[in-house]
Amino acid sequence: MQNGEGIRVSTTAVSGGSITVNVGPTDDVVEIGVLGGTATTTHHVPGDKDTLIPVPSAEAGSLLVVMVGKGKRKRRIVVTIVAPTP
Amino acid sequence: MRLEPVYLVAPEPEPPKIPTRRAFLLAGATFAAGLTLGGACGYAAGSSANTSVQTGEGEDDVRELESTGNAELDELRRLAVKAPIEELAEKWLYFLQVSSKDYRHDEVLPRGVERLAKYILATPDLDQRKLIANATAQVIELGEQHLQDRAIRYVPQLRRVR
Repeated sequence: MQNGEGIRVSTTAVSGGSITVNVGPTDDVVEIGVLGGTATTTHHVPGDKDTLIPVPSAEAGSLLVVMVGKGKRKRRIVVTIVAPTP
Repeated sequence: MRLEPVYLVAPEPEPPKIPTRRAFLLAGATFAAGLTLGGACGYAAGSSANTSVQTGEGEDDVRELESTGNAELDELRRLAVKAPIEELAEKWLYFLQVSSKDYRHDEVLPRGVERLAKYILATPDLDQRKLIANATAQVIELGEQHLQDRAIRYVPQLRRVR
């Protein structure tokens, strides 16, 4: 897990799989998307709890961005897509 | 024999001459005033010409940093064009994510991506260098044509960063 301000998330994720995120008590929405792309998906998550959210499909080695908060308080963490283990 | 009156015209009185010392002082003061005025005008003209040259060199920067009415875009443009490169490198994720998602068609922001790419390549001891290099390469690859036109040539080198 890696820590941001009010967000904890795995450093890697499998494309099309799911990823565990944990946000602070004041946030209840997580956005996730491919860095450099235009699409993000939004997921409601309970504060202070580990929650699984789906990971978008992307090539191994691609970078995703997980975001919580709004406006200037938005925090971002990068997650690397890895190939699924055989 | 008749005597005709003869009128002798007295010479007109000469205007009083300025004493030599006063004339010298007056000429000196005039010269000094001219020198001062000329110097000031020359300095002003020179400064103006110099400013024109500088504006010419940075004309794009000035135009691009004019307010768009969107505070977020203005901040991104400042980071892209004007901010110290260290500041841009520190805010790399914010810059890359927001510019590529919300302002893909902005013509100024690719300059920031290019600055960042050059900085990564020129700074071997940059913290999280490999991650930032990969992120920058990915943003360029997924970017619009005008971004790729400007920065795609850095991608192979960015991908080789270890």
